[in-house]
Amino acid sequence: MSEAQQQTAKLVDHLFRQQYGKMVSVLTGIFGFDQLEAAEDIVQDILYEAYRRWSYGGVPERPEAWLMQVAKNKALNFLKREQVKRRVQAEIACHEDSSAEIENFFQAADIEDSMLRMIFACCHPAVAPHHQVALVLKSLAGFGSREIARALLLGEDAINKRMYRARRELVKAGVRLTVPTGAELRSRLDTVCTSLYLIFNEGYNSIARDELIRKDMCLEAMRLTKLLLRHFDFSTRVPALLALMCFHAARFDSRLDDKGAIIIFEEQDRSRWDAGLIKAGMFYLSEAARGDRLTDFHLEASIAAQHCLAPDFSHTNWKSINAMYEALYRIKATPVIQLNLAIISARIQGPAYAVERLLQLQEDARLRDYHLLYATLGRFCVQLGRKDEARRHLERALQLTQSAKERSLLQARLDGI
Amino acid sequence: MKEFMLLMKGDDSQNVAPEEMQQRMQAYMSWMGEMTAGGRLKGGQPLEPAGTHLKNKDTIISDGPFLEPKEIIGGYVIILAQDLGEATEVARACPLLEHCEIYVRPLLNVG
Repeated sequence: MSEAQQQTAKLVDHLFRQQYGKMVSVLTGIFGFDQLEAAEDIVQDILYEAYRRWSYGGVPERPEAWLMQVAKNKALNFLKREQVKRRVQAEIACHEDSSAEIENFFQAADIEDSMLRMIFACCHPAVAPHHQVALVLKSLAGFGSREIARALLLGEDAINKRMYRARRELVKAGVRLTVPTGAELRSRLDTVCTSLYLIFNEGYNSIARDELIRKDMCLEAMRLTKLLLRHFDFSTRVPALLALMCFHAARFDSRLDDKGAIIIFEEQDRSRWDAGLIKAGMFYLSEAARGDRLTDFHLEASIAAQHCLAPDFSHTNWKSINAMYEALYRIKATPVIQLNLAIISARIQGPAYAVERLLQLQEDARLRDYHLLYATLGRFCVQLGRKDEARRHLERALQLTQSAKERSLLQARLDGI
Repeated sequence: MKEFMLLMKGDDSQNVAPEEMQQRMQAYMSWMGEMTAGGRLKGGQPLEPAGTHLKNKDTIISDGPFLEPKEIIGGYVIILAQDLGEATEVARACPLLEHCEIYVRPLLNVG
């Protein structure tokens, strides 16, 4: 039989990772949030059992249903064991008909609800934002500590410590597994969106060498944002976020050449941008335009859309992009937006003007050691023929970046002077 | 053609992240698939992680969750090959070798 091979083909990419998040959410919902780690251990066991059985016997007809059935049995066993061990106040007391109650948790609609409760718990404002990121990646996106460490450029120990602290913050704040309601929902949903945005950005901009893991982080952030979109249609910030993610993800593969070296935006081959994702982005952006709320994500998505719609770099609508960045700066006054405004001014007022603005930004302590400031200065000085100055800035940028890829790009620039 | 048993010993996959576990499984399945397609595979099964190990009548070690993963025999397959050399080459192509050991033993035909 090449049956085993055919069956392999049937297995969805990332099935284990995605089912991990679902099963952990469901089991934690049954056991109580304080049993998160126990739920994670059980789910790991379930996947290992699947690994052993499927390796030899092939993938079952409906792998997801198979996993959920095993999860159901393990949940029952766990509750029985816990009840014997100590009379814990599990969120479900284990009595005769508990299997029926547990059954409810495994209905498709309830699985999604469990995941939503989990997202809101992990992204509780009592938890520091970078802890939220680690929690979501581990418990919902099914990343292992080593994967998270690789993606965030931290040691595995540091990630484990971060997870430990995050869990302690959750317990200390008495965070419960609920989706907030009423006025609280809106602000809590914003916190969740921000956390997913951070995960996406970590994946998109990280200097981690491992391309695959970065892309996976982006895809997981998009998957969870889609889950939010299915349930909270009152908020236009959610589709705006998803639009933004689509536009950026569309360019993912065009950012590196065959040898893995960085291709700067200006020189990217636009035919390699993913038309399907750009179309999806336009759809979500129009969804986001329904209300009268203009958020940071609306503006960022609109800027990304302008880039995606321009036929080539020289036909970019810089005036419009500039206006949107200015509006964005009024909502979110970050130094990086100022840096972007200075870069755009090179297209409108010319590179000499942009260099003036960039030099002023050096006075901002948050930008003083930011390698992109100097990389940009270097590039404009090269254009202006100010070679010595260009060299100085590029050397500074070289000193400041940790990324091997960026270093080789900067070195090539320096050599070109 | 003779029959050989491939014994897989020591698999740490229990503790790897879900994504890696799936990738290991898929690599293994396509190796099994190739052997099946080539008419080489006679059978095989995974083993439960827990069991007992009898040293003699009185010394019985209970394997189980406390055993080192590298000591656990995770499963076996029976394949057909011309000789031990060929069977060893087949085992060398097994992706499990990245994280476990394989014993290749000819079955002694006593029929």
